[in-house]
Amino acid sequence: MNRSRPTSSGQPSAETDIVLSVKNLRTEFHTSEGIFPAVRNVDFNVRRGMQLGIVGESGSGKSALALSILGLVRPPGRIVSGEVLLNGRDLRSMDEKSLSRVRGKEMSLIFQDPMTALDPVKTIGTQIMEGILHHNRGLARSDARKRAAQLLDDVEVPQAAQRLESYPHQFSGGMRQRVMIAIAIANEPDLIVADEPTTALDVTTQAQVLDVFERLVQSTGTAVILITHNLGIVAEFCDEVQVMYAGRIVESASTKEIFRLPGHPYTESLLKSVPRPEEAQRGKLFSVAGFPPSLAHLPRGCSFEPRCFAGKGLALCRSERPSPSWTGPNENGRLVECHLASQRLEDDR
Amino acid sequence: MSNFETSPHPDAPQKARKPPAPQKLVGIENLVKEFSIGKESFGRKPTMLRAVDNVSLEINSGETFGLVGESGCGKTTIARCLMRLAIPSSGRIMFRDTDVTALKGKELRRFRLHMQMVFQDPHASLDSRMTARQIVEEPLTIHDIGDRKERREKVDEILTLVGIDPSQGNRKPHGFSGGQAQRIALARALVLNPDMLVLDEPVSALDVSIQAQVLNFLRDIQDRFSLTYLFIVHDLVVAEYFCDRIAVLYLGAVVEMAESHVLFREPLHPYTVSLVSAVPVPDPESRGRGSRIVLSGEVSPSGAQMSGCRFRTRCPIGRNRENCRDISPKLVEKSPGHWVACHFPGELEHAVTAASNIASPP
Repeated sequence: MNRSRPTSSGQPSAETDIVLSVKNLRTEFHTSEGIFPAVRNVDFNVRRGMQLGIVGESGSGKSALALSILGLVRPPGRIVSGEVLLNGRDLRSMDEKSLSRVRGKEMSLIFQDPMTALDPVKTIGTQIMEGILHHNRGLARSDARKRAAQLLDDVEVPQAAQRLESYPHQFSGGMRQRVMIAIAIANEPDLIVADEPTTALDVTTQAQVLDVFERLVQSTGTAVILITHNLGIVAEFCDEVQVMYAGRIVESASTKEIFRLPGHPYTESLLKSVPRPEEAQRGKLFSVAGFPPSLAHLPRGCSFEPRCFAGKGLALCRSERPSPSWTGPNENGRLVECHLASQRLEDDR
Repeated sequence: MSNFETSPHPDAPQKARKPPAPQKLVGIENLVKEFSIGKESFGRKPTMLRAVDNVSLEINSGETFGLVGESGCGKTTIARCLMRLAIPSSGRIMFRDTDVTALKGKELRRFRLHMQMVFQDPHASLDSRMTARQIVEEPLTIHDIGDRKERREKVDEILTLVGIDPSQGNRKPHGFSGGQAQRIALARALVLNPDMLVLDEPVSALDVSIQAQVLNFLRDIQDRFSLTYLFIVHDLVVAEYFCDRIAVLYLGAVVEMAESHVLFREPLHPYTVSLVSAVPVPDPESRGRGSRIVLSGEVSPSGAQMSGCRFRTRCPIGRNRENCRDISPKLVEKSPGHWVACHFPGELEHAVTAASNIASPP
């Protein structure tokens, strides 16, 4: 797997190379209990063919970010500011009709639970063909059918042509997730957003599905945003990682760098929480004290400060929100949003 | 030197836990549980699905025994039989000197004082209309333990123990986060001072940071109250870290059983080898080393009914072998404490080691 490794996201590079550009995106949920800014002024770019991982705890805003990108935020949520540029065009200024021409064609989505994402009363074949026919007006049904069979074969569903007649409930979880992948890649999109695509699967099935997915996106050059909480999957699948905490991207770097030396204390805490039997067979696991803050009542300073092993109680961390800064030599460049980042990464220079 | 390669945590007690004296607490003997699928009609017998097929294992006092395997392998059914939430089709389950399968009425109720269960999703397993305090108190009321004041004191004590402020006890489960709600479920299980907890995927629904808190807590109370755990888990990383001994199940049968570190270092059954190799490793440097064995196909319940080895249709080494087709392999002890049911144990492991030796430069 020797893919050319793109440099850090968000860094200036050839404009044409950028599939998705998210600028100053802010998504809020307005409820009776207050305003919850799930995504707080986020900036990043995704380049062609990049496999980007977004990690964070539940409630960190990763799914809200995915929905915002796809224009699927529904009330009480709404995008209050910012731009989402797909191939240079702002999706936020598009009406629903233009958006439906983009979704499934230029970008598509894979959900965690294929059983709720697939229509239980339509055959697998019909559901794959819908996407193909929607974006290829004038294509004969028989041709769409051939294409659907080919796609099912690509995702390694055995006896693909016959299985087009099956209904979702006749498929196992792994097979259904393959169908979701087939639908997602049907029109060879530039970007696929996959939200926890293998979380509901067993480990052997997860390995099968990830293998198929990786092979297909690499052969078509599709960029992927993979949202997951499994750091093992990030290490195996992603070129770059963005860590989300309380609606902000608090660290962004290449996978190798972030695992070698996490810049943000939160990233470090996440990595340390994973059991590593070879290191501490019977010792205690590192755990992050406390719980994520309520988005409606964020601390005045750094939102991670109350739980931070490095900055807890420091006057600077308590009083001022850190702003993102680039650290490290250019080729290993990373973006960290922490007052202590340069100090923490100094030894590495 | 990377920050997280240093010692796990300054507070981490580095004491090696002494191996628990092997004193048998639970003995499962030839356990079989069948479910009927499809209806009986015109004198035709319904099809029977064997969810647990002749499982025998022993759990020692004070240890953590892990059951791992894919969905549908029977791990939860074994636990349910043990708790007597399901009645075995045949076989025996001994708890100390009592045959659990024969218990009825009052005796069964008394037995349940010794063993409690914790489920995967606390928000589903806790009654959403009851307060945390009521939830934790309920087992005491059911078993008629203490008077009102004593119960209130006991609930306070247990809530404090699991790290929930008793003053928050009047909140309902949805007022708590997943990790906190799981602590309340644990409080409910612990309030009767059981000897044993059956933990069915207790951390699977939790975020990794909260998962670490709950695992640490489970280990703490195990040491403090000499608890025995039956730990059902599909996350092998957690299994290896947390369990003393592990049984790997495939289609209702134990295919391999060993001490946790032995099982993961020297897996003998090809199914265990593939399971271990399929775990995504949180280390980008080891990516793409080609050591992953991706099994073809999926678990099919009909596999339990076929002749020979139940794993053979998916087995990387036994698919076309006569022995595997004709003879069902017995669970035998290959080395002390290491049991495996395979005609060619260790063969796949050798193949992988050989391949990676060739692949990596000297």
